[in-house]
Amino acid sequence: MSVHSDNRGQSGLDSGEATDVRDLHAAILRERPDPIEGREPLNLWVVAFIAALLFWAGTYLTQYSGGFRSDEFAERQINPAPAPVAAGGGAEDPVSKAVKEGAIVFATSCSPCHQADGNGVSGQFPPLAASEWVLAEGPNRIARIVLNGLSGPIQVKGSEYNNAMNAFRDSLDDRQIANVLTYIRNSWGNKASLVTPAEVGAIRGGTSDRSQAWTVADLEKVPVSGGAAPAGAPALTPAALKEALKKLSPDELKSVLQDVGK
Amino acid sequence: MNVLAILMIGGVLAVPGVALVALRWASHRGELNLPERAALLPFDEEEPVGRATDQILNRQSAES
Amino acid sequence: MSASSQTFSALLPGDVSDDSSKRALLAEIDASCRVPVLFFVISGLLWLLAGTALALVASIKLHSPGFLASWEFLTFGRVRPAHLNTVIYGFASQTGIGVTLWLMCRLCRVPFVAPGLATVAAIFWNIGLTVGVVGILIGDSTSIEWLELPRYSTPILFFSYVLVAVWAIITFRLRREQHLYVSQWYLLAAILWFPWLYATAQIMLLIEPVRGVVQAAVNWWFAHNVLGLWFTPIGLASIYYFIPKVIGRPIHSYYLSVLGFWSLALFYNWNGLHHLIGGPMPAWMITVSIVASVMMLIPVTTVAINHHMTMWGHFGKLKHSPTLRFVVVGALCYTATSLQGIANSLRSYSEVVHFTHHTIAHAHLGLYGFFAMVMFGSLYYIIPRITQREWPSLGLISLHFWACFLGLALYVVPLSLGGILQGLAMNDASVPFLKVVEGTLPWLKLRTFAGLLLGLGHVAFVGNLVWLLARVFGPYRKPVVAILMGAETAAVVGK
Ligand code: HEC
Repeated sequence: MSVHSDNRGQSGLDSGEATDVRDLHAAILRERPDPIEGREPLNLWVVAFIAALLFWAGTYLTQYSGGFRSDEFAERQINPAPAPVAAGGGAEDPVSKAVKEGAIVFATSCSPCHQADGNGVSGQFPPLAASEWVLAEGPNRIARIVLNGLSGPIQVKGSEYNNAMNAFRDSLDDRQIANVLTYIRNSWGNKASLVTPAEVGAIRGGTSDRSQAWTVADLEKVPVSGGAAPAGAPALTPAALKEALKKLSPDELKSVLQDVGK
Repeated sequence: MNVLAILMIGGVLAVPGVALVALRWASHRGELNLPERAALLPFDEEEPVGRATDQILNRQSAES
Repeated sequence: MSASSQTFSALLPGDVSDDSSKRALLAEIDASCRVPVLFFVISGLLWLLAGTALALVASIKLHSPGFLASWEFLTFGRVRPAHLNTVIYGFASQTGIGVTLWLMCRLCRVPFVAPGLATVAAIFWNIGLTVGVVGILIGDSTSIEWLELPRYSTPILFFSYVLVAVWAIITFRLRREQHLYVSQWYLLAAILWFPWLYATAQIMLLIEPVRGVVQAAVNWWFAHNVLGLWFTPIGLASIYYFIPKVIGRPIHSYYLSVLGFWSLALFYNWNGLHHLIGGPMPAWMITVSIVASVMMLIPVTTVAINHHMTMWGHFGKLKHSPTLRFVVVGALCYTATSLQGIANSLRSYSEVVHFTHHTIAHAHLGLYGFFAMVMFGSLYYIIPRITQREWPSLGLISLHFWACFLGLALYVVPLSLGGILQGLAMNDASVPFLKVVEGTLPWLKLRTFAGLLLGLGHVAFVGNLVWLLARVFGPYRKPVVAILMGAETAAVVGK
């Protein structure tokens, strides 16, 4: 191709670059024999940037994917803090299994008030760690608290609280309540027996006519353990039942019998 | 409905999948090895590199 | 057309090449595109005017609810989807296809093949869309976002998408230039992706609907891919073509452009579910889409660097070239809207801006600031070539540019900020909801004003085009030397 650039350069209106230089440039670009020369390697910064992005992607994916479960909607609850339960050796003993699942319920339903470390907020939300209510022999009272809530004065670990806790009867099912109770009974140094869904179910059924929150006065009428749990559940060996019944005052005994009669 | 869910997931995988196949095709044809030539493809003798086009605004001589 | 191309050759000072057949090729290609491209473009622009009017009605209703309230077909719930569908399927898609057809012919170096096929596609497209939009206005909307067009209209549209795809494949097979420019990658991908996306969404949402949250997942997978795998590639293809073309300098790094294309192809498709952050989707699905959204930083930064480096030292040309102005503004908006979108996809940010006007500002920065602006720029380049007529009024071009530019800025910037404030207020439980709504009023009014400016720009553009077309039918006046030949040649000819 022949270039008569002088003809065109006369215009006096070129955009700042001499025409012949540009044409020369074009020719060079087009005819350069060895394309290797023109291959600018990818800028190292670009490569580093992409590598950093990929690294971030991997981290984010593993941290915020709810364990890739189809039933996990809250990305942040993945890998719940390893349950501080004594690993008894067996891969999945019922307690640690319940604790694991209960941890998730606890994080969404209870920790806003009782705090993740179970210590509550002094003066407002009583602690669950080392609470005598939580560590009671059976789940009778705490299951009622979770089902219907609690209001009025209560003594926990020697301090007085007078506040209100909401009911979870409609928002948590038996399994979730049993798991979360097992969790609070076996975390932060607590150690107490497993709570089964059947126990919770029985208590739910037995208290279905109660609509207001519990008060300490009402709760104290409920035996600490045994009672409403169905036959066959671990808490209800005849011996344990006898033991429990012996502890009751005549009045309490009467109310238990009435409950059972329903 | 499950069939459709599978279809969807399949579809989501299919786009990058097809893209990967196309990428293979491209690199086999050497499309990725001629960056310099490829960059010049919009140009030809008629509208060569180095000549600006479409310079119509704010230019007295170009007005009709 | 050989007559006119000879005219050009004769006008060319000096370097008339021996190979006159090659010289005539561009003119031949351009002329062969005339009917189908103009058909798509003109109908696209008419839909743009309709869409602008609908948008204004919807926008005014947001701050003055009594406006036109007595007509049920103009209630907000109908006008808004009607606006969305006219601008998406009417304006953006059709102009996009018009530009695509031309670019494909140019880059494949073949005159338009099977113009009948494309024209039939255009006719069916407009029939289908008219039926659909009327359907929305009379209350038949499917109420699935981005797919509101009633079921009786969509098969017509789908038919025409397939025709366009078939046309693209034919053209591609007949190409004379064996190597592919990056724009072609984008265009081919877009044209083949779109019918497939559309069919999948239609089947899974309307014909044999999936249930529950899967619906939402499919919905947003589709809606986001329409942006990312249909409009974005066409817009980027145009930018990759027109910036080098106008300034007369090849793209800065072809490697970067290849990287940009392939990373878009690999990651974009996963992005859609970030629209459902906070929704009842399994956490991992949303997390995957967030990761994919952040990975979009790769195509976005490579494209931004590449365009910027190409423009480097040539910014002065912005003063003279309408195409360059629109396209460069579009390219900047692409970077801006992508970065904004990536931020929006992060959970912590989304918690604030989700369900606020911020999202709407974002959508318009993308579809208007990026796509529509690039299309306007492309049309300023293409139309004079295919009609062999100069733009009649440079003043109208300037008016179009400045009205759209200002309108865009006034639309996007205040509404983005207002959206953030709105989101913060909504997250503050102590602020009553009504207060939050009232707080958005100034932003919404400003938006109506911005919309009027945009409308002014559109009218200027269409007016200029109509004027130009009138000249096509009138006697042959003056060849497009200024545009076709570039600055220095124009000057010579002008003497
Ligand atoms: C809205 C805040 C709130 C939430 C949520 C909450 N609690 Fe409570 N909880 C309280 C308050 C307040 C008390 C003390 C009530 C009173 O003063 O009468 C209490 C008391 C208790 C007690 C008895 C006192 C003690 O510290 O041992 C137990 C056991 C208990 N909650 C367990 C739970 C469990 C398990 C959950 C989750 C399922 C839960 N709480 C969720 C506020 C809450």
